[in-house]
Amino acid sequence: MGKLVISNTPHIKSKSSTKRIMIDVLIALLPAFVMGIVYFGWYALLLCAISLITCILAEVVYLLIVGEKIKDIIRKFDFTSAVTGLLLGMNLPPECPWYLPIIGGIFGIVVVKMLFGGTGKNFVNPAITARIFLVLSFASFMTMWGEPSIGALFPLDSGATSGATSGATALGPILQGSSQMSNLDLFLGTGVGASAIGETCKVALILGYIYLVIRKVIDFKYPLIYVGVTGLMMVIYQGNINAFLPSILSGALIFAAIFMATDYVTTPNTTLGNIVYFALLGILTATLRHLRGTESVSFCILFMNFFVPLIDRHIVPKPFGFKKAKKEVKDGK
Amino acid sequence: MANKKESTLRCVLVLSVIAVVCGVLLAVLNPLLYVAPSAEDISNYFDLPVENPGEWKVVDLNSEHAGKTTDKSGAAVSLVAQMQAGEETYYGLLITTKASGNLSECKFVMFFTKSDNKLVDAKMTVDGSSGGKYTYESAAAASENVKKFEEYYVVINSATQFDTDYSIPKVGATLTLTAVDNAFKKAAYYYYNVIMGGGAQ
Amino acid sequence: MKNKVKDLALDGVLRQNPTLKLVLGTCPTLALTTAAMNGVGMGLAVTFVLMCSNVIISSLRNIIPSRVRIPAYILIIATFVTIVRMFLNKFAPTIATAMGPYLPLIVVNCIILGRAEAFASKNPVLDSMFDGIFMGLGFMLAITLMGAFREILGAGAIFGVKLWDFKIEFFTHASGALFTYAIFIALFTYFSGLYSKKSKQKTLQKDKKEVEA
Repeated sequence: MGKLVISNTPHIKSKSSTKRIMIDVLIALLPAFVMGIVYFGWYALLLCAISLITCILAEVVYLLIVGEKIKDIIRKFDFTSAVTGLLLGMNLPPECPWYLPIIGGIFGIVVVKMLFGGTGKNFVNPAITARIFLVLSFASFMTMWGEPSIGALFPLDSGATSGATSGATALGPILQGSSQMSNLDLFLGTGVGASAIGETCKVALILGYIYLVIRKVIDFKYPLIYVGVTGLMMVIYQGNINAFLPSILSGALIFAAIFMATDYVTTPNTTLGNIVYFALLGILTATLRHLRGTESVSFCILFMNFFVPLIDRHIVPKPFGFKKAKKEVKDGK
Repeated sequence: MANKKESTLRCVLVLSVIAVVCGVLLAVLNPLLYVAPSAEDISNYFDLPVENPGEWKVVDLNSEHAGKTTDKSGAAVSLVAQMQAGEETYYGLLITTKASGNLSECKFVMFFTKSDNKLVDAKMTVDGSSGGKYTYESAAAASENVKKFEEYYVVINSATQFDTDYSIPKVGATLTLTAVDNAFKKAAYYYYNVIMGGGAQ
Repeated sequence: MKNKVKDLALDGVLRQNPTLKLVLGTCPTLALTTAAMNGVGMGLAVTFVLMCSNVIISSLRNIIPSRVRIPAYILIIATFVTIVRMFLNKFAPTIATAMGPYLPLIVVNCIILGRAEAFASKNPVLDSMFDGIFMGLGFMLAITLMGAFREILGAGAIFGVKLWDFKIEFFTHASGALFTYAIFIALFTYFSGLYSKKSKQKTLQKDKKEVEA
């Protein structure tokens, strides 16, 4: 015992600074962001903007209160709060009131991130935790599913009704095995109810994924493991091989697997640790989805975040050039 | 310290004296503070604002379904009454759900109209949630959003699904919400099987 | 004597606040702080039990053999809890139901047993009585403030009076209870740190002056 395991941001300095990584993540989020606005209209853009501005402001104001100088704050600004803000905005239901991103943003940045020491010190994902805080606080708004339509941006007839319905998401019927959605609709996100602005269009999400993999921001394996294990477990639970595609294409699974679960700070340090982490995450997500009958991805990620230190404790990286010490031959006996 | 070493006898004696004194004290206070358990009075529970209401009359409970806990949910129909108001006959059901965790026993009343088998009113008369009324309020807010809930229970007929595990987003006040859920299921089940004579399981 | 009472009062309410400093009796603190009124009810009940049990235990401190002191304390505490319970059931049934199982659970509340063991069994009767009163008040103050915080944010009301429609329901849930508790402990530690720094500086200045004189 007594081993000190420090599991924060990389300790080796290289060109890949936090700032560069975060800008990459922002670029990767763009396609899904644009598709979210195309499907859900200008109000979705407003929500994301509010969330983004709140998160950045919350960080700056907190640092000012703590006594940092403005010059230092600008020099050190590394876009992590911008990523948190955009992720939180894209995690909100498209029809929720405007003050939700403000409350969520302040909670996510101040309580989850800054109070624990700022970037790289938060032990859970700020955007996920902020979303869960909002789900627990405003259940009636946060379980409102928006119905996307291509005409949302420029409605042709002024009498177009907003498509917010409550309780009817694509995932519900799928979990009960009575879905009429085609896989293509799920894949493109057309006509599917969504609980988050960013989760609908899988093509856009996969574009972001490919960009992140090419830029070596995330390892290509991990989101695949998460999504694959979830799908397999759903097949096992429902006893039906056809459940695989609908269950991975619906809900926020792919969005969360690419952008939320892969957060550096809240994943283990080793490859083996990461495989264990993402596989467990998949099993947990499928199990909770099956038992609760509703989307549980965000709760699962928060829950598994708590296991990261435990995984890091038991799966310790092998130092470079380290050889297992041979057992000493005991003298005498 | 040898003389201070307490003998077992002394320990037992002191403890018994304290116990007896405490017992006597409570025995003296008991008649002053005793509250008689109130009987299940009809007028305590059944008040439905309708035009020219008649008198509530207790209907015999079907022992197979009522009085005691009959299923794993723990909800039981503990009182059924009937009232004639003008043309319409109203049924009132008192449902008791059992305590679980830090949720004590809750009581619900539900009113049905005989002509169209409709649930016209439902309320929680005894709130067992510790922490007071806000727990129940947040449970109510969570269930408000569930349209399916109403679809299943507003009109009772053979299509009513008594045991379907539809998904209420149970975020917070989970125990209270489960109790509400169980009470509705029990009432619908009893109404369909006993009062309507549906018979089918 | 006056100084002693002041000392005990400061100990009970601030320096050794049972909820925020000693972190005792967390179970009712977490469960009942959904409303400020609950805090007052629970606080008064605990204060009464604490005062009475402290007096009795302190007056019997030379009679109760140390080998059986815990069962003896529990007997005495349970008697007073039963009295409080009967009293509330008779005269304030709504408060009694709001407290649910936490009312009889005062028997094993560690504030009461802790004060019996740490204070009443070693100190004279009058001191123990004041200790009980002020410890109880400290508990009541802490959980009433927490209750008010959670009620305002979680239900948009204070002492049952509605203030506005806006509510963050998170604070009425169990997770909100833990969150509120953490915030209160942090704030309390921060302010008591400031206070003790100030008082230290004062005594230092006094010492300096005395040295100079």
